[in-house]
Amino acid sequence: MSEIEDLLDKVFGKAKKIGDRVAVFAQKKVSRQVRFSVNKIDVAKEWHEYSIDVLVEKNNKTHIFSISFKGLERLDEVLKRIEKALELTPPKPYSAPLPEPAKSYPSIPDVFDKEILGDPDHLIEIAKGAIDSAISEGVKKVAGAIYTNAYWIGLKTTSGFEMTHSYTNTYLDVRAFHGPLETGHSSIASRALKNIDPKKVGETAAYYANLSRNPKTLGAGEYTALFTPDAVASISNFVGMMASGFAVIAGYSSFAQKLGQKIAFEELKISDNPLFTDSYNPVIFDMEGVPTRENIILDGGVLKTYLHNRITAKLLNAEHTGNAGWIFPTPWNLVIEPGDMKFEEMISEISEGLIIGNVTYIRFQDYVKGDFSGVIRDGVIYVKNGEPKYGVKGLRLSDNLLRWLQNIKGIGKERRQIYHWWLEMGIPVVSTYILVEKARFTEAL
Amino acid sequence: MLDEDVAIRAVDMAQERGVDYAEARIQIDEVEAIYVRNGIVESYSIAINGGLAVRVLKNGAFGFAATDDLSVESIGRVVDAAVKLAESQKKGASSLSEEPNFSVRYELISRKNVFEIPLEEKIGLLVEIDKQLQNLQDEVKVPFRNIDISAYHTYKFFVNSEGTSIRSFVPRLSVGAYFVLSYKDRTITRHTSVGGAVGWEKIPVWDPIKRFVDDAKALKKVIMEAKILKTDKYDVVLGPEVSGLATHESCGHPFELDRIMGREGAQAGESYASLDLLGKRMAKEVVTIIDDPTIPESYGFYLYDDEGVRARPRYLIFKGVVDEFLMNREYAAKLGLHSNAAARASSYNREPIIRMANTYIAPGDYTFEELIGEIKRGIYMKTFGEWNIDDRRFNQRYIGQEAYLIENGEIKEPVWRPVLEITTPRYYASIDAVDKNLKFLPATCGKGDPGQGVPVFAGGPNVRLRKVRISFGR
Repeated sequence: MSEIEDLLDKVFGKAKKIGDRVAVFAQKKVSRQVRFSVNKIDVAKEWHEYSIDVLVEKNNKTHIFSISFKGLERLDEVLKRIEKALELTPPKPYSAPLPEPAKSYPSIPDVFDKEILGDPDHLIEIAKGAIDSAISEGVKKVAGAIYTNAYWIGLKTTSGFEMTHSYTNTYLDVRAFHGPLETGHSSIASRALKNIDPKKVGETAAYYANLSRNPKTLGAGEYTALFTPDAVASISNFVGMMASGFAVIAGYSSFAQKLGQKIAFEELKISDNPLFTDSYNPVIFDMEGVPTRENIILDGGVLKTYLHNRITAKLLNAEHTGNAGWIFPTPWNLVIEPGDMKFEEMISEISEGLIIGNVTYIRFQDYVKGDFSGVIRDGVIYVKNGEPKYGVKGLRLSDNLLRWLQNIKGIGKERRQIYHWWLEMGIPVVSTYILVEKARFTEAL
Repeated sequence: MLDEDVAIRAVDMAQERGVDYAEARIQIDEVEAIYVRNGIVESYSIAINGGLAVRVLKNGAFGFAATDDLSVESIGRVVDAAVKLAESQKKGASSLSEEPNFSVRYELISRKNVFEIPLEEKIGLLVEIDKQLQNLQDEVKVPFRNIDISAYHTYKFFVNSEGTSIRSFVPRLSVGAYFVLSYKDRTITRHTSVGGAVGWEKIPVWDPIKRFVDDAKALKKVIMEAKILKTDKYDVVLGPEVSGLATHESCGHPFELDRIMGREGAQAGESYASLDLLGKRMAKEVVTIIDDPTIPESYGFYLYDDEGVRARPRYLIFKGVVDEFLMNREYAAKLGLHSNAAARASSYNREPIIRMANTYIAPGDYTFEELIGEIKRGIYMKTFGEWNIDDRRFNQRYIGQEAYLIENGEIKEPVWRPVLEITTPRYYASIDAVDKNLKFLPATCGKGDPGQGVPVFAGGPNVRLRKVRISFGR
């Protein structure tokens, strides 16, 4: 019996005594990170961790507890508190059974890269490779991080589901500086270390830093803007979050009551697909034991589905989509369908406009309507007659998510998987370039 | 509760492996949370997360490792990992400032332990908030109401190879609400909360029912009556919620020395501040900005930081002049200074990095009425919705949620989404008066990779800015 199965059995056996419906999720994770800045390594880190999350339901009351390995010694005490709480909590007016196990589950090839558990010296070399690569392109400073994770997970439920799974993932995130405002960024995420190319990531970050030289002010207004895969991944994180059925019922979504409506550019297709080749999150079952699958969120610009667990599926009269979270269903791995335009073609479409290298700090004034702004950086470049000219400073993307989606005019051919610290919702995205007309920008004075 | 011997043993093991410095921290966070959505108890949850972190310095390079498995074998593994990771870097340029050693234990005792309060009482509070928000509905709808309680008990034991050991216990409590108002083609989405390093005894003082309902009542008037004004230069009064956020974002973060020196370059970013800003004037004399971890009952409370350094108030700006930056031992050493105890780790599995605690503009002499009374035409921005700031903390934006026109020294009708988008130098240069009404609000400050959310107080007094551009949102 594996370590995870052992943990599942130990906790499940006790938890099922106090609940009608029980699900136990156990995870072991070994992670490493090397952080670097100002062209040198700051710290190297390693984690060995377990976590156990337990759902207990009784008479339409939902209770959850989560404990680390250290917390296991207090399992009995926690169960007593949960049992007492089950007596005192008012029931919900709705419920749904934990799903029965499916007949089959997806099988994903190459989900575990043993190299990730190899000698950590390799990560130091990747970090140094990224620094050297960007410096060789002429930038002055390089910062970033290489991160690796190995997961062993398992789920056991009272509906008879029991399965374990393991996978790895890794990402490299690099930011290059000529000066404080002359920056570029790039990243790559994968399941295997062999796909992490520090030279290419360093060069791409330096490319945008080089294009950002001598930044000038441009003035607030509406511009045609080419968003890079990193920038698109940041914005897409909110598309993913707002597609959650729970976001819809809790007032966090601009997509509420828009199913079946055309809310985006007619060629835009965005799916959630953890089964995609080299997906960063190759999970095969969700937190309720439902097989994961490709769910097309937007197709032809039309909102096709929300993402559901058993409760949101019931409340919104829809089918379970294999995206449980016990409370909040979430996307596993967004995938943007590529278009037919090369990067160079997309730039040539811009008579006067901007390249937007990255969008960070996205905040909403109005989740329901979709009004938001985001800080743009790492390659904000003025383009005239299809030619990048110089860096631009002081602008902020201040738009509306639905308007932004509708004003898309072109989708790139080249794709890159993005996952790094700044993705606000933590959702990996297989991303591409997106050309938007009349994107709105404001300026601080 | 805390396996102090485990931490001491880890430091000893690291020293046996020839490191120049070692520290170990055991941290256990117990959490209880209740979430009510539209009157329904969606979930009751408990979490117990804890474990051991080991950080070593060898040949100027840091290695860090953490685990939640405190068996002898596991401890040996993380000590080995931390040492190996430091050695893998061959040679680094880091060192630690010299600091006095302490052996201290401190505990904040709440008069009413939240975990021991009957569940019915806690649920009852949330359901009552929901009910009263729902009862506000007429032609203005409140279709989405999300109310939650989160209570934390944090136990820590820190020990290092220099002879310092700190044991601490801090309880924290917050009550939060997110609700949506809708009226005709307008919506308002509002987050608000109360909190502190306290127990349940604080609930009657905070009175979250009244506070959240008053907040919603004011926004109801805003959504029905607010006018969109012309973009222009206005005198502006920022309420504690807005001035506190601006202080946190545009003074606290950029005064973190690791940002200034580039360590957060790929993540949170760098800073408009440089070392030569020390001693320079940034604002008028009315502006003094303090970051103080020692404020009793504050959300960001601690007496010793996560490197074992004794905490004190930090005067970031004193009477308009830059006085000190926030430092941990690594970055203080780079300047030949002592740490001012700004090293914090959000949980056992995070490295201590430079963080704020409770950052605010010191209150001034004005009454609120005096602050407003001297304005001929202006905007009072009491609360905010959307906001953000660039990674150098130079270009910031706040959109008012509850906001009013000021005319001839009086607060008049509500205004719709005033936008203050301003550079940091202009922001501080524009402040000409600060009132005496200091009010704090709990917040979770994010920084680091992997991310670390730490509890802080934001807030401050009402702050007046002269002649700044305000546009108005959609």
